[in-house]
Amino acid sequence: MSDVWIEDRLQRLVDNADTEERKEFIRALADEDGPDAIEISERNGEIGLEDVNNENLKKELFTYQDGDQTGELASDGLRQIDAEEPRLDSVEIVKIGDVFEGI
Amino acid sequence: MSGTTLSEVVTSERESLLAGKDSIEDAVVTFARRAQPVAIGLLALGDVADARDWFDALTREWIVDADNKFDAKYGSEPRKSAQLGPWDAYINAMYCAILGRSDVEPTVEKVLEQVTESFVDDLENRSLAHRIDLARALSSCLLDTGTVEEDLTALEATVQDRGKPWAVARYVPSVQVLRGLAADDATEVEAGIEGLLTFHRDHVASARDADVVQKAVALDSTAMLALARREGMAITVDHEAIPDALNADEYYPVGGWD
Repeated sequence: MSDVWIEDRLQRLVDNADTEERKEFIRALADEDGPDAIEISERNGEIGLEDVNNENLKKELFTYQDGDQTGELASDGLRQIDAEEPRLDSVEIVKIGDVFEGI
Repeated sequence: MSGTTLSEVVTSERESLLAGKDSIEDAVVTFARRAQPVAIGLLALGDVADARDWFDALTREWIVDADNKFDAKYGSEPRKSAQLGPWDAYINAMYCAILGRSDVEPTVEKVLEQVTESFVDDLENRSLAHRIDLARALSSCLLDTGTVEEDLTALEATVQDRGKPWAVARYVPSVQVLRGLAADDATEVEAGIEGLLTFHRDHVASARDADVVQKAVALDSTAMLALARREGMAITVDHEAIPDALNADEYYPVGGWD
């Protein structure tokens, strides 16, 4: 998962921050005393993404074995549609702040 | 995708962006990525006057957006990688200026100033950031700086060296259009626009996450056709992915604007 890809996803989050709840979520991501994951600016009450603090993000690749039946059904089902589709037996997660703590 | 669906999407997003705002200028602030498909969609739907108002506002907003990112990423050491730069935003600013037919020269001058900053060529992964070379070539062409061929050669070389099929499919036709414009060769320009339409068909419209507007309009081809007509080349390109307005003298006259 590249830094470009991660920034693109965070940009989409900011682009969709058109309610106060979503804006608060974005501000929380930018909190220097918290995750400090992004740099933002505000104009006319709207939020713009300026940069991503990649050093404050952690990327981890999880590989897992799902239950026999559901795992086989899910991954086989996807492969039948498109052999190029990813299999549901690994996932890369971007960790921001302590949101995953205890999980 | 049907025209009705495009219309519904554009109408819905337009209303969403304008909700609680006094003007289009206000509606685009920090929302350039959502507002640009509205402008492009309106152009495709034939609402050219409204589309121009959105392009006009977007031209300024893209520059603000790009400059903010530029300062954040490159204003101090350590500078970010070249791949993370706001080059696409600068290109969008030029495309919007061309399609909105306003502020072309000041916009392009600003872009050229940024993309030719002394440190840019020393950035990490510089050779992978083809958008820098395209922005330079496009701005050189528009401002007639005399460095177009030099910029195009640089773009061509890095794209060919890297050898990524999608990059070749995207940038080689762009080089062809700009080189054709420099040589006043309409056949080359038309061939380049056709190449960009092929890129759109194979790599944009067919992408799994392509939205309705991306599928309906080939932005690079459309902007290059507008550019060619602005530069005085009397060509038309009839294609479903290029809005009809681009071929109309009423909206995009041949030569003589801004």
